Amino acid sequence: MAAATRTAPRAREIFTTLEYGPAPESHACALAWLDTQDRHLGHYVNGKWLKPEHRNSVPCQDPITGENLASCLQAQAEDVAAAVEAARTALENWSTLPGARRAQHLTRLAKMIQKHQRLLWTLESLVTGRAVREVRDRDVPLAQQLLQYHAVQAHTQEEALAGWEPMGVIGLIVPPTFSFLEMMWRICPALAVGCTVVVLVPPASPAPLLLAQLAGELGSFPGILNVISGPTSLGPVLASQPGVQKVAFCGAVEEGRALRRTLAGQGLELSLALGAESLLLLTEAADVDSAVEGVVDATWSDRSQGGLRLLIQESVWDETMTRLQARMGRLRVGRGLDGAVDMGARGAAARDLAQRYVREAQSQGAQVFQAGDVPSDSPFYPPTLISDLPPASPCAQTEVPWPLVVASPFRTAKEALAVANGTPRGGSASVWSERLGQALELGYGLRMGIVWINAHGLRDPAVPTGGCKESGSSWHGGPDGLYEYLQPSGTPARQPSLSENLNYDTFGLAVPSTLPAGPETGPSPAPPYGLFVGGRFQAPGARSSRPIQDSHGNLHGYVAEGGAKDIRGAVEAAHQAAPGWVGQSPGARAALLGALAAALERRESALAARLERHGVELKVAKAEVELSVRRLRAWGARAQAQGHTLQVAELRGPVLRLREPLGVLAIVCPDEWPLLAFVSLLAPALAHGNTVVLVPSGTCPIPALEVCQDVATLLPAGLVNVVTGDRDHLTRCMALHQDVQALWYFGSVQGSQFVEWASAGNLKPVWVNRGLPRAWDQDAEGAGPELGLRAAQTKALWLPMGD
Amino acid sequence: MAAHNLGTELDLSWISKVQVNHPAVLRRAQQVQARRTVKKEWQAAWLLKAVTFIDLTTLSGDDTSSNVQRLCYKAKYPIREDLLKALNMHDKDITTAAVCVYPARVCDAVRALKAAGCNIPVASVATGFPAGQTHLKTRLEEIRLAVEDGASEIDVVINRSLVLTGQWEALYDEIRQFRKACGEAHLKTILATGELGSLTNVYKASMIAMMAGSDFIKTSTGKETVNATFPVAIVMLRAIRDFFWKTGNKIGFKPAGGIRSAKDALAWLSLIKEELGDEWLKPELFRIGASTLLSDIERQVLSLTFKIKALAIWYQMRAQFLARLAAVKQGRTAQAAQETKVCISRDTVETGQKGLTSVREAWENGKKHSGMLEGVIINSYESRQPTVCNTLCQNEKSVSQMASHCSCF
Repeated sequence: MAAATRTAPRAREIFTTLEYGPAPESHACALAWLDTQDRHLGHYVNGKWLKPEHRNSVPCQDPITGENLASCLQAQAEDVAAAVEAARTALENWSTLPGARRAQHLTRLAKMIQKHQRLLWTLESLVTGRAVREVRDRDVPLAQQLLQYHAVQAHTQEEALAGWEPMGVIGLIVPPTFSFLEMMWRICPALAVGCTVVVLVPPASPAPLLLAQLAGELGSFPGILNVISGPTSLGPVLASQPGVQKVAFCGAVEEGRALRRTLAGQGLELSLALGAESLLLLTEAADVDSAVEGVVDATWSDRSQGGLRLLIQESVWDETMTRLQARMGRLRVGRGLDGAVDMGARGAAARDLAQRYVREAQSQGAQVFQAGDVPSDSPFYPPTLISDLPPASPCAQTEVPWPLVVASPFRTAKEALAVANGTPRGGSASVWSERLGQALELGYGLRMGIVWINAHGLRDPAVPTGGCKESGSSWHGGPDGLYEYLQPSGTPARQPSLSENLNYDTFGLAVPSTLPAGPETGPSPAPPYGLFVGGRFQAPGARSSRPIQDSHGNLHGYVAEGGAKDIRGAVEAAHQAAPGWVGQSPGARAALLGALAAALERRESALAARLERHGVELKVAKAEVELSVRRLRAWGARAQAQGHTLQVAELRGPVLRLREPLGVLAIVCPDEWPLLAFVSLLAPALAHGNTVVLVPSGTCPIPALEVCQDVATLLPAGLVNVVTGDRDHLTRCMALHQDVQALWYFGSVQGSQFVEWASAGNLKPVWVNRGLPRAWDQDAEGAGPELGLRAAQTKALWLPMGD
Repeated sequence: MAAHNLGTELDLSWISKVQVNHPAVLRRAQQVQARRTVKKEWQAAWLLKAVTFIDLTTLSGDDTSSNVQRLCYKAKYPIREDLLKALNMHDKDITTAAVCVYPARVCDAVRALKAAGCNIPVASVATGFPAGQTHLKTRLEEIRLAVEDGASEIDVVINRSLVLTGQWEALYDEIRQFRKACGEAHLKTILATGELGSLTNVYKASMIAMMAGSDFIKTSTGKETVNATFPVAIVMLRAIRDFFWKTGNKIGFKPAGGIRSAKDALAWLSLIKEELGDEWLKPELFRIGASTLLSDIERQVLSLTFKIKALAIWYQMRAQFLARLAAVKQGRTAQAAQETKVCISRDTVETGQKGLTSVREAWENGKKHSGMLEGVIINSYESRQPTVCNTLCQNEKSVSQMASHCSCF
């Protein structure tokens, strides 16, 4: 009975100290599962384990003990090809199924997860080192909710999403430090709408493999979810497989940028979800203690991947710091599989990253405070609070890593907005204020994908989650998540990439000089000459002109030759006009668009004549003008109803799904349909509150300039800017412009490729046609819901209530 | 007991800017219960500690001197002696923190406790408990009489109407008078949080009560529809911490009403530990008002004791068994084989199912037949009953399940 007497004094001792003891969660079942694979994990493709010979393997280690749990095969190009092939085969069947059948399948998968949840959470916590409580109580239930929510969406897909079709095979790339939940957020909508998925997971992440196995063991449709493990560098290989229509990437900002550049011109959609930093805005009207808990939720509870930028109003700075530091002292760090810890460990890479940041911050003059019950002999990193970082220091700009909080003061709400919106990141933020007016002002003003009022880190399958700016503009959850994997019916399949060797340095760099080309045959009165910038026609900066020919090849007239300087001016004018236009109610915007439509109607004969000179039959020309008028009116009406309220389980209070303008939208109009395409692109952009810089049709820019005459009298100055000139050159200027928030390009294949490449700069969302024509006169393509979707960005505003 | 809280001047600026966000506090309340847990010896020790925080309470219309006497006996001997011995805690003098009765029963309680020869304080509710809707004069008189009868702690209820109408000065004055009436007795102020309307009011009332000189603030009477809840507690604990930071005075906290299970008690302990820290985890600063909680704690300690004991035996057995098994496997030396045989022959049990029964017997008989368990294990191994063998050798949980099963007979 030696052991029995040994435990007794322990109880005595604990009675005095009242300390916490170990509360280990058994991970026997995770190990047993690894044993079924002989501690040797491959890939899960087409419902089977794939363990090819002659591959490198990496060890999968317990991040805390360093114990080798299993070895994981690294995929090579052939394995990726095999996975994509499986997904492609499965697609034929899966995408044509009735939605109800897909819903059934997703529900079965949810049930399957429910049955094996213990295995899932112990495996995830064992391998990632995250606190098991978070995985068990939050991630696993949420994974099931995601499947159930999307099963409902699949059920109603035929009615609710008529006119849309699944994209095809989706390649998904997830980052090394991630929860299997990140994968679930993306595969659920993809599978629901009828896409099939190939997931490239970083080496040594068995939880996604287990999920794939669970899905595979449902029997039917084995190839819809394939998981291969390998380095991120396989991303381009995955993208280049024939049949892959879209790549969804989440991970670090720089990796996302590099991938954007690599995949430019390959003809597939790329959606990026980058960075993991979050923001918390604490005003003096806040419940400070609750806000401190918000900080804990945001970084020190193993809920999110990244660090936190904390903005505190100066008047409550001292109070907040005291409370925060006291709270930090109570945090417990330890083995993830312990039921009583707040934070686990995340492996050497995350720890080094945090350490490096802290050291740099210290060298730049910051104060560092660390506290908490942290085992010393370990791979753990303590909760860390950094303050007094000079605003101009490099650390104040770079992304804050886990588990760090960087606190800085602000004086007024206005200043807080300026600071918060001044960062390149646009992921998630929370606002803490008990004053409703102030909270809403800040919530609406923040340029972020998600804003929580008096809460942090809430998630629900029905609420879209995503970001803007450098956080990438991809969405998951809610209706927005579905559209990520849908395309309008009839969209042509991906074209093989053509112009891989485009020289990005020289594309559109120089403008060929133009010389006098003979007498003008243009009409009288002469069309307006100049660039339409800031509400009036201006001479171009280059002081040169470009000839426009009519359909017979005769010189029709000259338009101004715009350049980089003019684009800069136009973008600036558009930025100045933006606050006024955003502030207008949708009704007021609709009225102005209506007025513009009426003006266009009065100008009908002149416009038709212009088009006729360009070689359009008079009857067709008249129809084009008429259709343009209709488009303007239609978008005015559509803009009326945009955002809506979502009701979320387990939350009292609404979540607002707002549709906000992108900002300054640059549009390169196609050469064809010189008037209709111009109006069809302009109208949705304006209706959704954007300000625009347009490059009109290259061959026939005159009608667009004519419309500008009415714009000048009817719309606020700077709202619409039209710059004529060499399209490649102007495209280059706009694509590289850091202050243009989005770009639509309709032109050549090369131009499309360049635009995609250049958008990596500020990661602006781009829409390119890849040289393909578009039927602007058909409502589906010329005025379809796709335009509305692309003309605005979503923001989810959480408003929990209660007293 | 600690010195009295002398209180401070009324300073309304301490409560004027207060903001309590209800949904955020609810979330915190949910989290705090899920994020901490204690097991095995820790749980046993924590539960025994929880016993020492209990204000063992009876507040019913049918209280008589006989049941108060029983209550006092229970307060003195809250946990079975043999259990305390098993945990080696019998010399820790574990009693409840106080007994809590109606004023008319104070004399009975004092007498009973004296007879039992212990100095457990008697707490009395007062001031028109539970509604507080009587005249101030009679309320003050009630306190004085209870103190005269020998109560050393007075649980007063506040006048809720003063909170709901925002008369904070009047509330402060009333509690001041209670304080004075208490004299040497400790003042525990019941805020009746279920009837205060909002969490912000709970915070304000807590602060006023502390400024006026309460030694404890207490959630509820146990007679409202909503009693001690975590969200309310969090707000009150934050007020206590703020008061401590402002004045350096530590004020006690007493949740009461609706705390019935041992699991609840553990959650309350960890809530105090998380929000205020270890220095509040002593009877001078933390009490749990409860009447039925104690019996559940006793039940839990009983089963834990069995579990801990069973595990200890099991660890020992397994070590011995594995050592012997290794010897048998490797050398099959004559001696090891002989020993094994002896073990098997000593074992009368043949099937695995019966083996479990014999495990139970092994506990009951303690050391005497400990060889039997070993025999069962080896026997089941030799006779190729891997399930039984595995259950016994690898799954520590099943043993504790068996243990809890055993503890039920």
